[in-house]
Amino acid sequence: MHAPQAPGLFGLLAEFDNPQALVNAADAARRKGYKVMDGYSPFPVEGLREALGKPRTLLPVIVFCGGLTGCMTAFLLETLTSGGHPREWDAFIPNWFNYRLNIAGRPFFSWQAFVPPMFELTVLFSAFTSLFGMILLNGLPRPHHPLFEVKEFERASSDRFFLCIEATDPLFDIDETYEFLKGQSPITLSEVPQ
Amino acid sequence: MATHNARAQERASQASGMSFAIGGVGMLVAVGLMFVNGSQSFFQSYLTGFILPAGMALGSLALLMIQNVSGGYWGYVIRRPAEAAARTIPFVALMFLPLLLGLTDVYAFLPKEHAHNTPEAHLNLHSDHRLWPWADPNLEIEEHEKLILDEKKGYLNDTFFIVRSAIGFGLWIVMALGLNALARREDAQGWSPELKQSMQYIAAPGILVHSLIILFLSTDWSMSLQPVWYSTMYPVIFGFGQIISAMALQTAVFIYLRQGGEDLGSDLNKKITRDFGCYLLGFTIFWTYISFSQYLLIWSANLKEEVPYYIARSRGGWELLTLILGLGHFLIPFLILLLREVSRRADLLLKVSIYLLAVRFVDIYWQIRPAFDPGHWDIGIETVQDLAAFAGLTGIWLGLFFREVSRFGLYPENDPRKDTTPVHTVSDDVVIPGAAH
Repeated sequence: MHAPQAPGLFGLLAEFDNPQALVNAADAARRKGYKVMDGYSPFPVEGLREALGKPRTLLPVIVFCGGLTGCMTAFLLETLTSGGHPREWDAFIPNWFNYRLNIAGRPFFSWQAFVPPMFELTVLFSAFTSLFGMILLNGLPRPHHPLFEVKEFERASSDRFFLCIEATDPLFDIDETYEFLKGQSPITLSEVPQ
Repeated sequence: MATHNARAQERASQASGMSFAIGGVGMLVAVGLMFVNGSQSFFQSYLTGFILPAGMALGSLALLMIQNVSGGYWGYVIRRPAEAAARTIPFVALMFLPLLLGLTDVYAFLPKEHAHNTPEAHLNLHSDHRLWPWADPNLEIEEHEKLILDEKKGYLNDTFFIVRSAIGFGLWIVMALGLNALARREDAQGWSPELKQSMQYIAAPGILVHSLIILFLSTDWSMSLQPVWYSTMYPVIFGFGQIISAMALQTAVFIYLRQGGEDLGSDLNKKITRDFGCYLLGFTIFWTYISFSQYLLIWSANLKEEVPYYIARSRGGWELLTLILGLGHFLIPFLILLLREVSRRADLLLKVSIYLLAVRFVDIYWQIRPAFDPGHWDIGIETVQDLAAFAGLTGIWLGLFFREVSRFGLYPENDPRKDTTPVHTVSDDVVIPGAAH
């Protein structure tokens, strides 16, 4: 974290009326060397992530791990409860958990029958990880954000596109950044209070 | 565009020549080995080798009909090669004809002693005189098997078998040539809503008709090799296997024809290959779902006439192939295709789709071959014949297919989907010039 270059200021917010203008402005800002910035739009804009220079999301990897956890959870749960493990392990498994159930004379370790719950828990855990992972990676839940102080920003969820260069950026300089954003010909340009 | 087309046509002609050469050699080896292994073994190899090329042609027809109804940019991309594959269906019918000899005494005209006294031989009926055991009038069977077979006589008999195959191929040829005739009219007169509707009049009922033909002919060609056994999931596995083969073929052809001529890393082509990758991933998962659920149901029910199918495939060497199939047809392609990078790199996706075609053959081999040798598998001269017949029939079919591909351009120029692009809501596919990655 760098010390804010302008005390009391969160950043500078530029408003655009079309997605392409936002992508162009973000692209120009990234080329200029700005790093701590973000784009805001009412819908996903193609190319914005690359233009902002943000790394690809880690979410797929997290979801894969979540799915694998679900799969293994079901497998271990079924194996251990139905006594599919070697008898020597019994000592390590609590009695209330360990049933050697004889189901139509099939082996205790009937992996075929274990597969449907393994599949179900894989899906369940992946779905939960992708939902909650997305929410957490987005920094939610968050009851307030400095950008809400700007009146124009209300339209970020309907028909306007915003680029905010934040004051913590090492290159941030209130005058220079203001001039730079102005050069991108936004509709409005606002200072965002901390 | 014109130069790209010329180059693609040249590549298609090259592939055609190469396939014909491989196919010719394979076929010669397979026929030659008939004098070593006997004609019985030849027919068995021929049937095993026939299923994959037939599946690529018929699966392509199914995809062609589906895209006519569903729309989508992928349909615009595969239309030309899928039409080319559909035009080969009359030839597939010709390839099928020799198998009918398996219903006659010719089947055993070069007899050879086969060791069928393995302990697992009882897992399926065996006939030395007919390819399909139910067609053998002098079949030696036990009482409970005879009861089942007698009940099935009304369906499983020579005449009805031939009638069903003839009707099936007849309808397939009508649908394939009909769609091609409309495509030629579209080339000549330009696209019109009426023309599109005519195509849908063939395609929409065609999908239903195709499914019904598959239901009957998968039962006839391959399920009835184990006449006592039955599975209501089998036609789905058989028919869906064709769809996977066709999609893998379409992916491979899309990339192969454009290599060296067109930029496969362009935004548009990346989106197309990504669509193909997603399809292949979804299809692989669905194949696992249907194949495993058939196994799970039979394993759970544990019925005398159903379980021999899996016992025959879990003993005497077959357990190795079962393992290879589970890993090679599910786990490996699943994990590879999960990586988005693979779908966006054409050279990798080409390898994956050819690999998928190879495991499709392993799956077909695993379905057909144990019917003749239940619970007993080793690599011998008969395996060589299997592979030779497979290479022969697939090579000759691919030769014809690529010759048909080279006849017309890469894309249907009058299709209005030309001016659209594949739809993606994710921004990851777009490359900003000069952006750091």
